[in-house]
Amino acid sequence: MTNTRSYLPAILLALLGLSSIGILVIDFWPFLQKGLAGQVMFSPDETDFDQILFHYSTLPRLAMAFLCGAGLALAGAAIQTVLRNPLASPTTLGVGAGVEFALTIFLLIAPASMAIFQEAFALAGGMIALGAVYLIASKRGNATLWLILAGMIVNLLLQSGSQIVLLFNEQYLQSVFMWGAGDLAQNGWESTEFVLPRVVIGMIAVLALSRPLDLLALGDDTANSLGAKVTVLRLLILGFAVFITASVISAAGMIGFVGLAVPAALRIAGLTRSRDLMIYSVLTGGFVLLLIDFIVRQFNGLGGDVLPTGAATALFGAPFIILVLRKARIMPGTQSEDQHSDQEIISKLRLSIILTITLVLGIGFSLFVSLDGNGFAVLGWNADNMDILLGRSERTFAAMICGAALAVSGTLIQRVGRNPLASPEITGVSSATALAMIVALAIFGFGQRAELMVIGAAGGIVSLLVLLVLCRKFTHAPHYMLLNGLALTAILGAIVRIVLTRSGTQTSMLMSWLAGTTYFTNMHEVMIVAGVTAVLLVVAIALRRPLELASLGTDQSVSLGLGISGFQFAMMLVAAILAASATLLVGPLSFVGLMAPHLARVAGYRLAGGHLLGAVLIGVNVMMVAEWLARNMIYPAQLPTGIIAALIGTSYFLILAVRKR
Amino acid sequence: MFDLKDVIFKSDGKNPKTLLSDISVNFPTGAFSAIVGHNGSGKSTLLKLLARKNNKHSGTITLDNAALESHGTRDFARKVAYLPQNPVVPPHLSVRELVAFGRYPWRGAFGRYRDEDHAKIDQAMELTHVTGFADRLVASLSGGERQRVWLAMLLAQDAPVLLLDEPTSALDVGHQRDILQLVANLKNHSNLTVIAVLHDIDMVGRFADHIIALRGGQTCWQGTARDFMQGEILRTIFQTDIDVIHLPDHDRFVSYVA
Repeated sequence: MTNTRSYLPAILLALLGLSSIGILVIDFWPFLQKGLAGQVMFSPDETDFDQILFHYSTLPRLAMAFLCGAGLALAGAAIQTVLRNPLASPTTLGVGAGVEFALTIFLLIAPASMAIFQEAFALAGGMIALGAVYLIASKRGNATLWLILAGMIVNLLLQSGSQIVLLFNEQYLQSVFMWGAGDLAQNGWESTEFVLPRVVIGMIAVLALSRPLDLLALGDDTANSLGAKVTVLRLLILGFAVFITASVISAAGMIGFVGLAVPAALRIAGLTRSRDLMIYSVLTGGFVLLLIDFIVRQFNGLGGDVLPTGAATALFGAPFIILVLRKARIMPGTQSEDQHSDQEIISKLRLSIILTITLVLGIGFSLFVSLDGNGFAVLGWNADNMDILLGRSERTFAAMICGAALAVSGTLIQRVGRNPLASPEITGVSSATALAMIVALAIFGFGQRAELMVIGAAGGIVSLLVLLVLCRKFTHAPHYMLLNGLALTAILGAIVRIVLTRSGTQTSMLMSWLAGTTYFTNMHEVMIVAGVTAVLLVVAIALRRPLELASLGTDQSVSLGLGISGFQFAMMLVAAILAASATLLVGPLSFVGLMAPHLARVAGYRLAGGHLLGAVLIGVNVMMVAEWLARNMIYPAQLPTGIIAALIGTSYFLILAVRKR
Repeated sequence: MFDLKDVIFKSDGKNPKTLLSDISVNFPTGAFSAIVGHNGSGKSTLLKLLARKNNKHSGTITLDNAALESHGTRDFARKVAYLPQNPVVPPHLSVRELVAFGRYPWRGAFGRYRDEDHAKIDQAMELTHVTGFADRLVASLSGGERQRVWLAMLLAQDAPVLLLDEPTSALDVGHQRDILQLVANLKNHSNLTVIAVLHDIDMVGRFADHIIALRGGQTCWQGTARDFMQGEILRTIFQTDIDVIHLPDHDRFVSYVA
């Protein structure tokens, strides 16, 4: 058995290689027929349009696809080996988002004369992001779950950052967005000339260091005692991996999942030695991206609509990751580490009172106080200001209702899923809602918001069901749900990006909605969402006893007479409806659904009823603060509330992750 | 209480393995029955079948002369209380809150807990000696204490049948004795039927009334504790060179591995 296994990678590689040769033959075919293949490659006939197109567009695209795939797969293999984590990769650990953020900032802010520093800037962005992820996770002994979670948080943080910057530079939106979706389309050899030397240098360096890499697999202590300078080695290899990633992303944009899926697949196919893994990764990665890009090209007519390759890799790669998670249990079977077994039973009455007082004061503050250019400005209570006050109260109310809806939704998902790190944002419910709404927008236009809400809720429910089906065998493992949710979110995010790159003039409006602005809301919708939230909150609190019982797990709940699957389904349905309602008002990216229930639990709201109320109080407060900040922070311009809430939420988890242990 | 006739159980998957074959046994009412056997003999599988945790099986299992499947979820929970081998310990519940869940089959999601419910909860905690830490978190207790809390929950459930899957597997010998002694006393006190999967031969010989031995998914022996503690029988059941010695002071037999 083991013998046949070791042939598998070679067979896989041979198949991919043959397909790639097939692709080359198909692409070259018109010229091969005329015997012009050599000519078109090196010195095209400048009068023949086909030859020019092939030489300056198709050929460099083929080269770029192979180079980018090879580079990213190698970077992924190196990072996975160095961090001893089978699910690490340039994109999951925030390197990609770091490079993207740094480049976005640089492109928009830095003067043209500074262009030579662009690369250093991108590299620094990637390194800092990876460093942050690594630091957070190392406090937790580098547990896989925390590494992935830290990567996710840093990713979201940087993406919100990039989005904020982009929203204020609308003129670049379309092009930067296209690049963000990973575009391999070429109109010359410049990108190839840029990437080739860098990827080759990176490859040589990483491959040269690959023997000591096997030592790292033995663990730091053993490697040290065998004479390897572990820290230096680790930093060097990570540095080169980031260098490759930064070069590829600078030239071709975000191409996700190649770096994760290719080494993971090879490992499952039976490659264990790091040197073999890397050499195979280079070739396999190159071939795979060539193949995916070939498929993508078939959908793109000449000069017509463009499907970005990077988004397509996520479409191919994320389902593959889900498959891998099902087939092989490559994850260490750690139980949830986030359980507070030494938690004391504390009275939360005082906390509730403090939160309520903050809320009341906060409402007053956010209605009457604002920042203008010179400092705080206080609005008087008189008839002239009534309109302003009404406008502000509407937006504050909308934000608070969203906070409440997301808090209830998150609490239900965390409780029923018995997973303290689940939430509508992380499980993909929010992205699915957003996607369903965006697709619906293209059909109904912006006016029919009631239909949008129903369609969005349906999308959210479907995605949640998919996730539950995927995770039904592993309900005890938070990281499993997290990773599946991550993959699901990636697929949905890729589709959203594809839709957005194609939606032309609507992009800006959709972007601000995705970023979570409360600007477009109207009172009528807010009241509907408020009504839905209030009713479902009452339902959830009424069901607090079975909700509590569900924390004993499936077996015990059934033994005590609770039909758990029906109950779980009903609760998840409620959670999806709430998440969809909130997403309509504030966009999919807010993190409040993760943060509020988590904070409430840590603060000592133990039992289901209190947990729900505590989470609502916290969620409402957070969204209120976020809304005020969004309105006033960079007066007279305004920021989207959802992004500010996401910044608050991610910061909370950063602090939490760094502080523990 | 439970009657099994020609029960066959196969595992899921592409190549189903027969885990239990042709089991026909009867678990007597009001007795402490122990299911014993070597690792992989199907002990836990059998117990899970009785607890309805494993579904598809062929043959018939009846509880109180009615097919096992015919009982509704809450109705079944009022009749049979089950303790899995590694119950999920909720990190946030106090002892009293956990024990109170024993009343769920009787009160459901919305029913108010009446005085009699609180009395049952108090009594269950009294009988298992956990009243002292009623307000502590279950997760902060030691293994032996936790096991007593789970037993308290099962007692509060007020079901005539207790199914216990290796209730003492994580405990040291002193606590093993305490827990099984407690179960035996509770059985007599509340007139319960107890069916437990047990590992330790001497504990079985000391506490069980009726023994069912499995080997390779089939019943290979059943009888009383007195008959069970004989070298020849133990050797056939466990396929290991075991013998017993007589303790004249206690008039009991204990086993040793040769």
